[in-house]
Amino acid sequence: MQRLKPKSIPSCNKNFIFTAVKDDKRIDGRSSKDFRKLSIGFGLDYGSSVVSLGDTRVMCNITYQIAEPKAVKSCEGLLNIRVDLTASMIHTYEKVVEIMRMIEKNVKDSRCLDLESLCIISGEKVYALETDIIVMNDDGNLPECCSIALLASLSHFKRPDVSVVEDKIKIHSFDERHPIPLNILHYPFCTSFTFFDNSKFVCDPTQAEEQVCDGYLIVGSNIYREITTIHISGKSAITKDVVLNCCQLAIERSKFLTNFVKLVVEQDLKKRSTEGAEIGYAPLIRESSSVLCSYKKEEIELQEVQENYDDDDVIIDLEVAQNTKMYRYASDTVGIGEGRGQNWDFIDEFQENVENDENEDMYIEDEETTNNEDEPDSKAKQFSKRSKNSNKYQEITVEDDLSEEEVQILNPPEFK
Amino acid sequence: MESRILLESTSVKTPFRIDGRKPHEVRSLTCRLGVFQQADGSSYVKLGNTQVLATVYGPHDTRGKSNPEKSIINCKFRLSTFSKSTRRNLHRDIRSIEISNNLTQVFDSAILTELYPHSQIDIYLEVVQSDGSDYAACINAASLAIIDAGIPIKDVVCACSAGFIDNQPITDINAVEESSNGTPILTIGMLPKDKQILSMESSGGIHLDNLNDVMDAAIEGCKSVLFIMKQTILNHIQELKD
Repeated sequence: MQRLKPKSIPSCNKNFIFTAVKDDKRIDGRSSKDFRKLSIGFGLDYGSSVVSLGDTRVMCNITYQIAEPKAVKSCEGLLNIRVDLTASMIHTYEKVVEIMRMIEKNVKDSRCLDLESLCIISGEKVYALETDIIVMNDDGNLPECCSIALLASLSHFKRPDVSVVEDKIKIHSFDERHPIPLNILHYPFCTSFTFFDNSKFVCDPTQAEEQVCDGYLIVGSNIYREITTIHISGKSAITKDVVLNCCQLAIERSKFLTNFVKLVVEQDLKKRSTEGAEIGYAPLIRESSSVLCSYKKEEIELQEVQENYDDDDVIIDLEVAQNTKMYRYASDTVGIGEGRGQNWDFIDEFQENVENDENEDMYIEDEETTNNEDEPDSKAKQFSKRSKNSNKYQEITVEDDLSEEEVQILNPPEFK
Repeated sequence: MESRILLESTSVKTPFRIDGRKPHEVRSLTCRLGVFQQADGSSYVKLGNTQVLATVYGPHDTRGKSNPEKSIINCKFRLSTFSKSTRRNLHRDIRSIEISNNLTQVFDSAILTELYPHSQIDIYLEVVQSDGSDYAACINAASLAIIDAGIPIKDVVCACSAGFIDNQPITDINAVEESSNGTPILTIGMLPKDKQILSMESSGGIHLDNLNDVMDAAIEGCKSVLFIMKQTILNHIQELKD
């Protein structure tokens, strides 16, 4: 598949982000340790969720099937995690693998899900959970957003009850027996930090910050102060103390996220039990401030911002500015001064050609008028007439008698 | 399961591991430079029973895209089909791709890539026998092969793994310790002079209070690995001189 290249960032933007980070400031008004607004929504089915973290939006869906267990772990259910980045289009396969392995290590290797409870008949039949994480919009910090979506879906998911009678499995529908939630032992969340010069770092990076940064550190941690996974890469000077410091921050974030996810899932389940309440994604689309609606950036306070001039900048004198004539050529083109008159012979013809190309419609109109008037005059005359007629297109011309008519003098802008 | 791995002997106070090592002991490390003739640089690393072959080609012209500012690093990691007790299927192994990615990132920041614009450096790693700490052995082997090829690098990149079993940090984990359930594993690849961590991968839960000790164990392991690597390099250069 043809993939798009990521937007390249100009070096002035790069420098801007770098210097802003040094002053503990960021382009969206956050401080270096602030996170973006998080919201979670659930679908009609159990185990379907959408998470938005700022502009990053991720959907996670869990389905199940009955499968044969692995030979080594005959009494454990299966959990397959897939990450799909095709919607954001700019990622390579390596990036997909990196995020997928990151989340897999975080969730599977830390054994946060009790897989043994998913066993039906040991060595023969187990539940296989298929989790699909779809990235709908990427604005940085994908590992965290994906891990939140996965854990929100896992804690929301319910499987049907199963009974085994003489080696025959019967799956009971939700109407028949109450569905059973999964056993989640702890909630390991990923948190990313991006590093800039001199081991300055920011939490919850946006896409621009991720592209500009020197290196990044992703920490998976849970509420019990356990570090489930760490991933460091890049050129920045990350030392042991910095890692430990970041782990501390990640744990604080995990505490908040664990409570948040638990609360949101509880609210949704409560909604389902009350009659007449609207559930699923449909009401979320109607709401103006929900997960599925576009994220409105908060207004940044600009009180601290001061205008500063460099000494090199030439500040125009008010007197000079007022006396200078400014001409408007088009709606967004303005010129200062007229320039000197010139007596080159070919200029008229040349300008006419340009004129023809630019204002073809006008030319045709004018031609009709000249035909009606039946004046096959010299080309210079034709041209002057045409420019007289065409008031819409204010042109600057060399002829002395025309210039005053055509030129519009604007009020000079106020200079400080 | 875990008690089998870390045996506490009654007579001596320090516990021993399943292969008779002390907790902070690194397996015997043998390195060799210049193993292959046709490659620009090559090395062989034997860390206990883990054996890795590394070859480096380049810097040469790029195939396809080139970068006008620096050279492209292309790293390929491969676990050979016969490296483990059961025959491996090579098709779409996600773990190998992950390790390849990580190695690319490590050497992209370690090698002075700005010196070779519009060029490419290929690093191929083949694990001949796998007995734990494959990633660490690969970083060591690749860094030796790059030095053999004469490509300028910031420092000798060294790596070591560490784990945590029975409230005891252990250095350089073998396959049995790796496969036991719930053992946290942490691999650090670093530039030893600046003590800058280039790569750090961990899986399994480590409590934050113990993380410092485990990282210390890995960094200590890096130091002892570095000592042997430096000696091998010096010996190799001496041989070339003679």
